[in-house]
Amino acid sequence: MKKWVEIALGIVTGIGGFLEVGSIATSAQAGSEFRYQLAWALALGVISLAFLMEMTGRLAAVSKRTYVDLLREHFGMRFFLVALIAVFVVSFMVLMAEIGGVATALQMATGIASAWWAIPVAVIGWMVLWRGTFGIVEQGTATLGLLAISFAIGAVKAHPDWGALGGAFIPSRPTANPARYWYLAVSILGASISPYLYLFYSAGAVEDGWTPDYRSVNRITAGLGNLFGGTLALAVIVTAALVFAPAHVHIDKFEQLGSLFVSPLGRAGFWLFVATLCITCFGATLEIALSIAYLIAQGFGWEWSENLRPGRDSRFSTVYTVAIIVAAIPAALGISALSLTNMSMVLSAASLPFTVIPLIALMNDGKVMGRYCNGWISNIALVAISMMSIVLFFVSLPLQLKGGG
Amino acid sequence: MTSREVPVSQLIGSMVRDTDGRKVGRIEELLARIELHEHGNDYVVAEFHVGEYGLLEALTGGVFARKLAQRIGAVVGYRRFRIPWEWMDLSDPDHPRLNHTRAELEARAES
Amino acid sequence: MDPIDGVQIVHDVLDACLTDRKGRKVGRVDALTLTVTDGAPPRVSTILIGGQVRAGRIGNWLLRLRGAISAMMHGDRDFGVSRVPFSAVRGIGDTIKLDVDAAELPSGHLERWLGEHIIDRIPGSHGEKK
Repeated sequence: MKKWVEIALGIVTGIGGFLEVGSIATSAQAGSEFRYQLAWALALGVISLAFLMEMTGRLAAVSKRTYVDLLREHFGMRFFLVALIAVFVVSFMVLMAEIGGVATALQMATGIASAWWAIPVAVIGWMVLWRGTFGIVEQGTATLGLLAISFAIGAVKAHPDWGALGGAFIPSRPTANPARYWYLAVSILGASISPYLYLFYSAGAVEDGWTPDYRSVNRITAGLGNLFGGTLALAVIVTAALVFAPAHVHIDKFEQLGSLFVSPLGRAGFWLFVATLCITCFGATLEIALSIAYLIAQGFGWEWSENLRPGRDSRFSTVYTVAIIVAAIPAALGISALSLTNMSMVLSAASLPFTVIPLIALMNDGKVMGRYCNGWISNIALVAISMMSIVLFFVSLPLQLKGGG
Repeated sequence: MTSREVPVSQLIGSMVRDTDGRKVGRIEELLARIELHEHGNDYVVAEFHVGEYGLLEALTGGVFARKLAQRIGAVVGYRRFRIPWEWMDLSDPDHPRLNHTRAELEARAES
Repeated sequence: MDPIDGVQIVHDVLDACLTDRKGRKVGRVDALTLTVTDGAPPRVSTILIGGQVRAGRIGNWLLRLRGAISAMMHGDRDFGVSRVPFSAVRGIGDTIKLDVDAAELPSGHLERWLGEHIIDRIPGSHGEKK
C-alpha cells in the first residue's frame, strides 16, 4: 500500500517539479517565436532528464550513497572540484532566476515592484528550510504544484492544431532566424536537464531512505513524473504559439505572460498563471538552495540532512542560508527575472558533461550497483546523452552570443 | 634504518621505471593487508598496482580518464601489473623504481 | 579478474567518508600518509582531514595561498588539519569508522564555530523537526 502512495507522490512531484522559471520562460519564448516547431527540443529534454533521474535514483537506492558522494569517492578531489565549480555556478545562477520568478509573480499579483519582494521571498524560503523537513519541502511543493495542471487545460481550450503539433516532435530546421532558433533549442535543453534536478533527486532518495525495492517507484517517478511535467511545459509552448505568435509578440518581460492563458481561460487564466509561476518557482528555490548545500556538504564529508535540526549540521545549514539570501540580491536590485533566466539556461546545458559522463563508469560498476547495473537500453541512452552534452558544451557560448535575446 | 613519511597522493599517478630506466606504468592502486597486533591493527602495503596504457598514455594523467580507459581495457592496450612491495624502491618518492627489470616483472605476471 | 584480498587504498580508503565513535560524520579522508622504512613494507600511518589538505591535492599554489590565509587568520599555516593515526580505524565499509570523538578534531573547528556563534543564536535551530 505504501508503495502506491510513494508512486503517487513521485508523479505529483514531477508534475509541478518540471515547471519552473526556466521551462516557463524558454517554452513561452519558443512558442511565440517559432510556434510548435521546438516541441522536439522539449521532448528530447524530458526524455534525457527521465533517464538521468532514473539512473541517479537507482544509484542512490542501491548504494545508499548520493551521486555527489560517489563523484568524490570514485573520481578523486581534482575531478570533483571541477564538477563542483561547474554545478555550483550554474545552480546559483538558476537560483537567482527562480527567486526573480517568485518576485515577478508577486509583482503581477499585487502591483508592488518585484525588487521589493526578492528579500522577503528569500527569507520565507529560508524559514521553510530552517524549520521544515525534507518531506515537508518535497510534499508541500508537490501538492501546491498541481495547480500547474491549469496550463494543460488552458492549452486544450485554445484549440491547437493537433496534427501540426504532432509533426513538431520531429526535429526540423527553422525557416528564419536560425541563430535564435538553435539558441532557444539549447535553452530548452538546459532548462529541462538542469544538473541540480538529478543531483537533488539522488540526495532525496537517500533522505527518504530508499532501498533497491524502490526500483519501480524510481522508474515511475522519473519517467511518468517528468512526462506529465513536460506536458505542462508543452502546454506553454502551444498556448504561446496560439496567443502570441499570430500577433508577433516578442517576449522580453515576464509580465507579458500574464495574458497567456486569458483567452482560453478568461480572467482566471491570469491568476492561475501568476499562482503557478509563484509556486513552481518557490519550490525550485527551495530545491536549488538545498541542492547547493548537498553538493558542498557531501563533497567535503560534512554532516548533512534537511531532516536534522540546523544545530546538528551547522556548515550545511549555513550554506543554504547564505545561498538563498545572496541569490536574492540581483532580483532585489531590479534585474529582470527574464534576463537572469536567459543567461543561465544555456550555461546549464554547457555544464552537463561533468555530471553526465561520470555516470557511464558508475552505472556499470558492479561493486557500486551490484546486479542493478545499467541494461543496454540505459547505456545507449546514457552514451547518446553524453554525446549530446559534449556538443552542447561547444555550441553554448557561440549560441548565447549570437542568439541570446 | 631510515623512515620517511610519504603522502599517498604523491605516489598515485607517478610513473614507475625499472632498473634499466624503462617505463613500467603509473601507480593506480595500493593493496594493503591487515596485520593484527595486540596494540591495534596495522595496515601494511602488500602490493602496488601499476597500469600501463599503451596508446592512451599521454591522455591519462587524470583519474577520470584512467577510469574510462580501464573500462575500454584491452582494446587500447591497457595492462595492469601487481608489484609486491619488496620489488618497489621508494627512496625517491617522486620517482618510484622497480628493483628488478620489466622483463622479470612480466615473467612473474605470466606465472 | 584476480580476487582482491585486502584493502584497496585508493578505491576504498582515499576520499571515503569518516564517522566518529557516535556515528557522526567528521569529514572525508582528504589525504593519507605512508611510513616507508627500508626493508619493511610501507605502513599506512595517518589520515589527514581538512580544507588545507584538500587544497594540497589540487596543487601547490592553492596550498600556499590557503596557508597564507590561515596564517593571517589563526597564526598557523596548518590550522584546522586533523591528523588521525590509522590505528584509530575500527572498520572500513561504505564509510570508515574511527575511534575518535568529533569534538576533538581540529578539522571540525568551522562546524563548531558556526554552531556556537551563528546557528545556535538563530531561533529554531534546536527544536526537533517533525
